[in-house]
Amino acid sequence: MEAPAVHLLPLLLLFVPWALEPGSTSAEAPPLVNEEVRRTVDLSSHLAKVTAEVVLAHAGSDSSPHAASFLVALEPELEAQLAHLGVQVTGVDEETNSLEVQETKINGKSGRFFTVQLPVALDPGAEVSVVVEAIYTHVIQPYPTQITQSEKQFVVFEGNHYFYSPYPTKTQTMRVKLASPNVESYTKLGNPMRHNNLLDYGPFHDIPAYSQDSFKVHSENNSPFLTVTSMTRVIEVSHWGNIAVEENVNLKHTGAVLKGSFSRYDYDGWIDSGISSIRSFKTILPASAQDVYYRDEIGTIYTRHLLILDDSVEMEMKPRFPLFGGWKTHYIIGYNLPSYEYLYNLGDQYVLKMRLVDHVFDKQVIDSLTVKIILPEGARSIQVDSPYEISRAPDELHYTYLDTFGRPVIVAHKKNLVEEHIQDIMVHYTFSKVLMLQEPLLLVAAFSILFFTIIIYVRLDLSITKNPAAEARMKVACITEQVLTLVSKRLGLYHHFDKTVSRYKQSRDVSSLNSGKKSLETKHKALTSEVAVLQSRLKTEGSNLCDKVSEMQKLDTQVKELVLKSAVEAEWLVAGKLKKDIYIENKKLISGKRRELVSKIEHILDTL
Amino acid sequence: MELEAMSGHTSPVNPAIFPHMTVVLLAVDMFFTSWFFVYKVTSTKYTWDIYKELLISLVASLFMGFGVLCLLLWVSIYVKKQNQNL
Repeated sequence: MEAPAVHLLPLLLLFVPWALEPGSTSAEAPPLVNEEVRRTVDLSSHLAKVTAEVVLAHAGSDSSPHAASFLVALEPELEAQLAHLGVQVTGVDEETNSLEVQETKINGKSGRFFTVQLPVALDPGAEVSVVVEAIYTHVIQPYPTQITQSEKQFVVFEGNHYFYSPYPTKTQTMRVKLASPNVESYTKLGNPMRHNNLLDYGPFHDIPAYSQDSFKVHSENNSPFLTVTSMTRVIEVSHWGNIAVEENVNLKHTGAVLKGSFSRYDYDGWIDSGISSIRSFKTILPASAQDVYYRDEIGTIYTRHLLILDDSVEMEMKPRFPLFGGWKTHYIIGYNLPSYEYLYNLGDQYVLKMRLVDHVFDKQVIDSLTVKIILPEGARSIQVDSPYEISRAPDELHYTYLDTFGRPVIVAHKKNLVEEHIQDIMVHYTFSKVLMLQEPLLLVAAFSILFFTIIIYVRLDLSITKNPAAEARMKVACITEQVLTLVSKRLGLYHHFDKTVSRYKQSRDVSSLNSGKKSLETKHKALTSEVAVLQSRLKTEGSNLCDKVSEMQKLDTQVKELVLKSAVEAEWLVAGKLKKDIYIENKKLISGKRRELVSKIEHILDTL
Repeated sequence: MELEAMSGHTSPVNPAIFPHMTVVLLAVDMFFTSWFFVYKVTSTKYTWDIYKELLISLVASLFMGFGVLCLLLWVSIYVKKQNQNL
């Protein structure tokens, strides 16, 4: 019953476009025609990549307007699974430029349409060649849906023989690239040619717009059917020179589900056992990634190899177990990046330019992605420039080391991503450099509080009764300490005076000697009186140390006498009243006596 | 803001000197901290000087603060959450 319907379908479609033509293209749109289309349907991996090289011609008369853009349509069956649509045009000097693609709606037609802006408006009668690339995810279905460990994986793809376009096509060919030469069945429209793992259809002539012809191929495909069901990517920016990236990945094997049990013996013994299972995959990280870690809930996973190349860091990751159909695993990967490669600033303005999603494995499919970008505390006026549409959740706050009011977090979600979505996102924000000081100052404040607490704690007198003996001892100790300082100051005075005397001997300046003597006298008097005060205090405390202090005072007066005598002798020497050798002898005597007395004083001081 | 006008942002402190800075700052700070504690232990109710204490404690906490920050940055904590794994 379906066969007649299949044959009727192209006939029906032949009529439909003519009936719908006035409605499908608006009155101003110029009539375009696909002169020649070469389609390549790449089914060698778990993604369906449909590339169409189209020679687009302006078929209107000379009076019709230029075509500034053209429409691309998607098959209604596949449109929900579209992950990426890209259009490129080959320039004059063989360089390919990507054209701007925007989704639009056409009145009277259901389905998804995209408007592509041409770099140069197309004149009537002119042609332009463009390459339209569409990537669909989850359209290659495993069939049978369940296989045992020893079986091979077969998959089915259902598509369109014709190029689905709002414009009629003059000639078109289709080439299908399969994963292996083992093909179970394929639809035969127009006598296709089969060679190895290629299927060539066509050429088909004069196909009207919006034409569809069901295409189905069932072949063997043991390529890894790995899907990231959900992924969270956290990017933490620090102005101390580091950006930390952490990815939390949930993987699933979306091929044919494993039927029966898993035999490790067979798996390790035979090469063909579990041929469609995934043993390992390779992640390509940015070139300057450091401190890469790979772990899960249990701990670090050591079955990984890091290869540091010039322009990237490749990590070959082997999960804890191989993935068969329907099996899932989860892991966390993280690394550090230097900030100067991704963070730019001018004054207070900062721009972070990083990949929104990075390479997880070749031909990756990510069902759901969450990106969180954590900016430093105090970042303001945040603006996000994303390369494609993302849905942003409200900003959150993240608290971590040395944070007081939290770091702003930008949260974004996106579904259905492939490798072509690895593009840069730009985040603009302002941050005053002074705020960076907040972190060390917080630490300084914390430590000062600690020290102040200690000061206050020691001050507190929490004893219940007073201990008079201990108190008296403490007071005495305090006073003796003061005495010590004063006496050492006094002895210092004598040394200072000695220096003045020797200087006088050289310079013969009597006035300086006299001034030195005078200052010695005054200071000595002050210090001695202080010591006397302390001595009396000691007496009131009832300590026997006051006797020692009075003894020391007496010795000190003797020392002073000797010092003054030496000064007088020096004066005489200079004046010539004294002979040099006698002076030297006297000097020796005086210094000897002085040393004796000073040592006695020091001895007393030690006993205090 | 034009990206071309901006230059790559580098840390205000060269990361290569983090180890040396850490050691120097923490050594100086240990000295001040120990001086403070010795002073606290040897002084009595009648011999203490509040200004000396406050000065030492302030300087010690200053060096300790910057030293610990340098230590955190050296150990790659970068003053943010980062689970390290060897």
